[in-house]
Amino acid sequence: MLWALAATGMVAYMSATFLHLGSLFKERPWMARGANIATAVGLVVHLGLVVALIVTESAAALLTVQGGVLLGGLGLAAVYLLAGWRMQLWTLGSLVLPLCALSVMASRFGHEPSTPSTDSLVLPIHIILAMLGTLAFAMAFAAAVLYVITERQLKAKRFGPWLRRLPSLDKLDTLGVRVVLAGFAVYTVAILLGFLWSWQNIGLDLEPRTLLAVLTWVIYGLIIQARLTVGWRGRKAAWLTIIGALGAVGVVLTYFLRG
Amino acid sequence: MQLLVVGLNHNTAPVELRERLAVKPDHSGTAANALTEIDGVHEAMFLATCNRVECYVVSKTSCQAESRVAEFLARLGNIDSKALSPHLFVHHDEDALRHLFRVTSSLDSMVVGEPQISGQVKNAYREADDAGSIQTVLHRCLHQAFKVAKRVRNETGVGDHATGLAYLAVELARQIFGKLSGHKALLVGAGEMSALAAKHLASHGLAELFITNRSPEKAQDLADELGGRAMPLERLANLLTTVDIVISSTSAPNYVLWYDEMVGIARARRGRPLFLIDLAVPRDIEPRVHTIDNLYVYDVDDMQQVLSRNRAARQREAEVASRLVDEEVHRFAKRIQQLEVVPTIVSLREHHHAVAEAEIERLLHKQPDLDRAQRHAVEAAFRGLVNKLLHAPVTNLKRASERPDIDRYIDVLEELYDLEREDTSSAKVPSLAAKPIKA
Repeated sequence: MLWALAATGMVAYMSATFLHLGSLFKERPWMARGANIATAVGLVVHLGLVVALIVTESAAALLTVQGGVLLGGLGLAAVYLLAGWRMQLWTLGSLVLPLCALSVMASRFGHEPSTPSTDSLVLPIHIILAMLGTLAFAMAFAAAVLYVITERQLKAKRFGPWLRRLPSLDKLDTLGVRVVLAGFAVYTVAILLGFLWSWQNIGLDLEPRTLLAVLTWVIYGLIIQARLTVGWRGRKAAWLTIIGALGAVGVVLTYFLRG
Repeated sequence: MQLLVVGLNHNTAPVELRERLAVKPDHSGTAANALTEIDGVHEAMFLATCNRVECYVVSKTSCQAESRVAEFLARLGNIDSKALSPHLFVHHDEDALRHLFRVTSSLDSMVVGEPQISGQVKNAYREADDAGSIQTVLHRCLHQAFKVAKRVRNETGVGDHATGLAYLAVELARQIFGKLSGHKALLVGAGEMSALAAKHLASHGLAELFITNRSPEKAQDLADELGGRAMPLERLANLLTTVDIVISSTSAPNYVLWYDEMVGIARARRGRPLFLIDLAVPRDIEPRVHTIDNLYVYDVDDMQQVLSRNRAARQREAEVASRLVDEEVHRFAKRIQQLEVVPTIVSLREHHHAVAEAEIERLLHKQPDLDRAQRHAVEAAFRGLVNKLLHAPVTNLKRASERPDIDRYIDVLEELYDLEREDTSSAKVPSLAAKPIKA
């Protein structure tokens, strides 16, 4: 049952992805609408998967890494729909929705969900906040990738019809900034909580994943700092955002590889 | 009733001739009205843009109407009709319909895919309607023309590409800045092309338009014309730091904006993007400036290249659009022909049903003790009989609507059955057409 829901969700999200990609090349109103419907379906199925997980296993199952990835993907889909509705930024879908599809499937894999320590809330909150921060960086990643593509085309003086359907540089930049700021705030707390839990339970152990998380934090801190002072915008900031997001996702991956 | 179009456009007549027939947009209603005064003309619409002057006319005797409309045009432009006629084109029926659809979808425009023509046709339609010169046929044709134009716009890439330098400038600006409201532009120099580009940008809601020029009077003149603010040339560096779009077209023989100073400007702007359009020949902006981060410089050649690449793509899309229009013409022509027989069919049915109802009354009167079920059975039988009797004639009449001698059919039917033809005013027929007549 969980597998069926996951597979359905993945199909829905991937259909939406392909429809978004298609509408970049041939603008047909039914494509855009179909993509949004598929996204909504995916979101509902995703929600259903979360509920099913709680029902079949337990609410505590959500407090594991797999649960965190599932919730993270749900949050990402919800934030994407929100950003799309408020800022009319549907084109991001072709980058964001595959991540949602991945999250829905990935939650079925990985090691046996590590027994969540229900005694202290530190670990669960750390996981939730870290996932929120990571998904914020994932959105920023999507916006940054689109920015780099658009900027490259404009600099090369190629202005084909599909480029016109991408959002403006300004919009991508604005979205990127907002999402990076929010993600950074959340990620900071997540890292602090991570250190706290680590210190409480296993001593201050600097694993590679911790270093990677801190590195990600530093990169985003740098981006924000540079933008506020020297006014670092545009391509350089976009590339750093991409690298930082890869770092954040890398942190999540280490949980899957090591358990 | 036949559709006829007589007119001239940028393909058939030079601009001097078209000028003579130029009619102000709000006078096209008067022209349409004048057309309906012509003998044999039932409906008319007059379309006049900078590239075409066309009379769309509905008449029963379109061959005679053709020469009279041509004379009307000659009188309107005070031109000798013999001098005018080689420049006129004429289309009848399905060809006229195809022409209307193509024009409204911008396939007949000088620049295929231009967005203004459908609005111009809408205006002409509205004017003619207000003047009372539009009835059923033109109503239907124009509504369908707008639908077809929408299909062309949505289903083909014909309108996808910028159709001129000024349009392209706006599109590039929007790709960088999104909505242009709240952004500022600067005009350096006073070229005509740059004024046009500035006007286009302004129409998208610029917050502020600054103009600077070597001669302050020229700057002020342009500022008055465009609704901007003239600024002294000394303020140039300052302006470059605050505006978002720069359009440059001075007559300076050298560069006006150099790489080194622009690096400093970019830094002072703290990374905010700047879009520079260089319309001058020789160029005003050192080309290397384009390599500066967050600065985008497009000169005339760059814009022309984008436009011509777009033009080729637009041509391909135009072919797709043409096929779409042909398909629509074919479908719609059939429906228009059926319109002719609609009033007759209505009369025929009314006549027959009147007889049936009268006989039902008489029978029920003679047999008052029929119960409810029996009354229903009687009514159903009589009405069913009438419908069955009508089925063949109505179906065949609809089928015959495509024949050229359909008028003869209708006349004979009306004579045989003593039918009074329904008045084909727009007030009546559309409501009938809304409920499809099932025989």
